[in-house]
Amino acid sequence: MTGTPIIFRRELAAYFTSPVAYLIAAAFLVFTAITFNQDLAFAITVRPVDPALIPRVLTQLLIFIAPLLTMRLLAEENREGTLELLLTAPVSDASIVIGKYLAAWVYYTFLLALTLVYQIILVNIAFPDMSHTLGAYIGIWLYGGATLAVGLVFSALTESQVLAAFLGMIALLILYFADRIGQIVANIDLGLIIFQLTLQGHFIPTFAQGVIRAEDIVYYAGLIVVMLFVSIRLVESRRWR
Amino acid sequence: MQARSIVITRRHLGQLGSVLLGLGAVVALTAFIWSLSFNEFVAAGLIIGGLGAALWAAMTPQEFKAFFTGRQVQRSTSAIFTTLLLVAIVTVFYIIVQRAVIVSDLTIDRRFTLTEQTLELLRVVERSPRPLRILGFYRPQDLLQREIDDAYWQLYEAASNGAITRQYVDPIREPGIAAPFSQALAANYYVFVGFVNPDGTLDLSTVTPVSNQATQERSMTEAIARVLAGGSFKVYFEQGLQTLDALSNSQQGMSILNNNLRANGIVTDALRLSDLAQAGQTIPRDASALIIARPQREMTDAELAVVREYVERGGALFIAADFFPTSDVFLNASSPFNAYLWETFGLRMTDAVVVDTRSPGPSALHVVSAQVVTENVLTAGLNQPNDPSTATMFHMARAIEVNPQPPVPNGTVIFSSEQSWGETDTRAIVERNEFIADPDADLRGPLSLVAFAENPATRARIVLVGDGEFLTNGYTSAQSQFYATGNATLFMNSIGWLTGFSQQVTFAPRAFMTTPVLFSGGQQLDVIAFITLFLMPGSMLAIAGFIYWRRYRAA
Amino acid sequence: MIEVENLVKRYGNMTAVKGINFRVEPGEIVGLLGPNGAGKTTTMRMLTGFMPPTEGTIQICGFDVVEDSMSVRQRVGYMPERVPVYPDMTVEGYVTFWAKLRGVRDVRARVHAVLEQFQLLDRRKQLVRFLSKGLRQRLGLAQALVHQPPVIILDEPTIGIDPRQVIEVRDAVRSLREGHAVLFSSHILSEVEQVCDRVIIINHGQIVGEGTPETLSRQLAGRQQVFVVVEGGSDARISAFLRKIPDVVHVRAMDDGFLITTKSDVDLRPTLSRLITQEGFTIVEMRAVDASLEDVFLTLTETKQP
Ligand SMILES: Nc1ncnc2c1ncn2[C@@H]1O[C@H](COP(=O)(O)OP(=O)(O)OP(=O)(O)O)[C@@H](O)[C@H]1O
Ligand SMILES: [Mg+2]
Repeated sequence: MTGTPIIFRRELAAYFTSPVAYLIAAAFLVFTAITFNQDLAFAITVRPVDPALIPRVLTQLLIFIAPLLTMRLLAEENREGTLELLLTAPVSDASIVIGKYLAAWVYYTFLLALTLVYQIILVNIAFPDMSHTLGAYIGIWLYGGATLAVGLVFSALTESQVLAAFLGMIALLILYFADRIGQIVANIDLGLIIFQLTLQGHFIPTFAQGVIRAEDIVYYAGLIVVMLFVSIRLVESRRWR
Repeated sequence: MQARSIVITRRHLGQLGSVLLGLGAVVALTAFIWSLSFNEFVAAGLIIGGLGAALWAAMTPQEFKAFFTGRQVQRSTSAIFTTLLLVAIVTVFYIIVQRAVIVSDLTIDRRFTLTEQTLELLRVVERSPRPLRILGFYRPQDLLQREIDDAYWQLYEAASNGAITRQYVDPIREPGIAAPFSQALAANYYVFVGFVNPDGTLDLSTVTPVSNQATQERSMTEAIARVLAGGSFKVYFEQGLQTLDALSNSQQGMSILNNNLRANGIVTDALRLSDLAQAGQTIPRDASALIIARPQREMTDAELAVVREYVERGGALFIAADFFPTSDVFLNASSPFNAYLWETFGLRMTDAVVVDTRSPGPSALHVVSAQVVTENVLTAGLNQPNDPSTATMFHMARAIEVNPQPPVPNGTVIFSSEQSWGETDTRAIVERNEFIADPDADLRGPLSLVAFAENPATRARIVLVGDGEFLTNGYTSAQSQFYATGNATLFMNSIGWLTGFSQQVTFAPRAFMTTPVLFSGGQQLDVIAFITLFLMPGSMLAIAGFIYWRRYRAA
Repeated sequence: MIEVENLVKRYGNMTAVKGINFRVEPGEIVGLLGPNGAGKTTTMRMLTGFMPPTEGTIQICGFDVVEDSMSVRQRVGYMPERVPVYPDMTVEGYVTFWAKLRGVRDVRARVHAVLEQFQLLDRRKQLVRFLSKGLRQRLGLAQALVHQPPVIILDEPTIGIDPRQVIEVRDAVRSLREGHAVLFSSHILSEVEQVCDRVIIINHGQIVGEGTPETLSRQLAGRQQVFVVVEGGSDARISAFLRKIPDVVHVRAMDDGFLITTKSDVDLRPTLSRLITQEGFTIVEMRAVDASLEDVFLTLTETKQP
């Protein structure tokens, strides 16, 4: 694992010195700002603002943003050939994958931190339930970590960044549609099992309501661990394929 | 040449064998996952796969051996296997944690934390010999709602150490279970609580609906309390004094309130004081309260003796005495029962009709509860701010006189307004619909409309109301023009207090913090929109442009 | 240092490397020579542990590449074929990254040293994406040497750069001889001739010749080449006939005639002319050709054409 911090630092620097990452940040801010301003206009003097508003929007936004953030990580190295150097350097495959993943997560945390501006505005014009908001942010932070891990798998799977992003979005969309599952699956027990596998099913009923439930944390952490494991195995597979 | 093309080599057979093996394995696995049981498809798949493997091994032994001992197969199998193992470990861990129900509530008003009151009730449930069950009906499309609710119900299951279990039923797939609940389901109740029979079925006679309000804890806790209290409270409607008919659903009946009591798990029955007096019987021992609603004649001495006996052994009376322009009006100023109430409870009825010219009701004779004494079980939920319908509305109400030096603790809970007075010239009202305040003869407002008293020694209780009409369906039905939700609230609160039921079941309402966004002029909104929509994304674009320029242009 | 035994690599049905054996000792520069698609890159990728061999074993500094991959990776400096880079890093940042990743002790000093060695010091703040091909090649070398590995593997270090830079790179490689085992691949013969102590010629995944440049030339001295121009039949028929003649090792169809390589020391020309005429063809021209290392390479790499 000695290589992890080195890889992590290089990847993080790559994010912060890449114009594309800032374009993604701009898009991210535009989408959240539209929602924020809309909700604010509706809420004025009528009702309290939803403390989980921004995290709730992010559940959808991340489906598209997360694969864009991760598509580069392994697919680009693969295409450019730098993976050849990386895999012949004396670092384990796990530390490569984990270092890259952590960099993506930290960059996402930066994006998330930008949205705190909305909370600062709210504090000045209302009395929002800040601890509820905190819970929702913890939830969406984990949720984001899980979507990034899913995106990473597809970056490990293919050489093409576009394909990696596309496949990642499809996979996340499938994992996302929890509230629709009942309309698709007639059997409610099967529906519930599928529901428990979905990203949203562990966010909307709990984190978004201001509750932190241990099983949801286990779900997101478990998803991250499994996805990282799969990514590591995929990278490792070139050693025996 | 022709012959050669149909020669089948060992190699071909070996290849065929390997394909069969793969095919058989896929068929078997798919069939097994699909049905999660060992059926004929699984068997067929396994047989095909086995034959293929045998063929492959027999025809090309080296290749067969090399395949299974080869690095690729070994490594890919181990990669898949370890991944599955990890998934299994994570799943097991998830299930363990899910069972443990570890929840941390971050909402500022502790919305997801059971209150001490609920926890106390759940300790009672734990000690109860029969477990309880929460039964919820959710269609497949209500799955998200079900999960949101479940986050709540599972708190109950955990806090009661499993004495309360949850069961969710899809009413479409299991119409048999849903059938007994069809009426409630139609009325948009979809969660129920009841005792579980020893055979594991739900005891339908104990099932209570859980009202589906936003404050879920209150609904559920009250429902559980109702189930626990179910059948242990019984109130009697006096039906022999020309009182309101508790079963009639006409405008003048009071079936709505009767049904309300029943829905809350209180058993109701009827009795006639005159019959008891004649037979020399007393009011039944199981009576938790006696309701005398709008009687139209005075009580006889024999009837009074029955009531006295009941009060002396700690009975509870709900008396709604209306005004009638007759001479033997119930609780008239000189009646023995009125005198009895004065001496035992320090309360008595006057013959004055309350007139309130400032009343927001349809006329000055429709008296709306102007002041309610707050922080009292009897007035809980009345006169809510910004909700005028939560007031009570009486018609031709009589003023109650409350002894300031009473023999037992007593008090008033509802007053008429400062501008009201007690008109003593009732003939003028009845005959000419005329009421003029006469400072000498009339009683000065505010006047007591609802009073209570309790004898701490005998635990005898009374709630005395100067009106009877407010109990009728005409005043409690949502379709009626005189509808005031406060009327039913007052009645239910009163019965709850008189019987001791509310002590067991009512859940103190919790205040939720709902602070709307303050109005912050259009200009401030514009500033916010400018910062969030332009400044912040714009600065990101600027950084992107700067980096692009630095990196790709200026080198 | 490098011991390769019976190395085989199959890509699906295609066998890219068909059982090769060789050794490289410390202080030796060995050139891996072969035409495009010979299997040079494949071999080197297996040596560095990027790819597993299908069969056979590789030992580097006594460690097995598959079993003890980590130990091997610490001891190998590798410059892949196209010098993969992170275009948005600076030259210094790029070398520093690899230095840290390979656990170099005194990173700053080592990075400074290799940048100086490859004359990249004045460009250390420049983005890699703006380097010319030659500079990039040098960056690749700097990266491969920054951790002072005992074994250096360079895949076509001189490809695609101009002659002046080729000389620079060649000099750099030559300067590595001390204490290192260097294996480098190329398909340009002259380069190998100048730099290497030993040449391994591979073609279609097989070693077709091995030895010092001198030995290889001597090997060829035992052979003769004859150029003939023959008429009286289709090229295919003639060449098929020529191949059947005893002592003929290789026949190559040229634009206007055939280049015949013979095995024996004796002059085969009289026999040839007799047999050709007997077959009914006409000899238009026949002359002996002088052989060079270039020819060795060409002959050796063409004989196995399927
Ligand atoms: N990843 C791969 N998958 C399938 N075939 C491959 C792969 N890599 C190389 N090959 C094939 O293996 C053979 C040897 O390729 P290799 O790259 O080792 O040749 P080379 O000697 O390095 O050639 P060049 O001089 O062009 O670099 C070629 O026929 C090539 O097409
Ligand atoms: Mg190559």
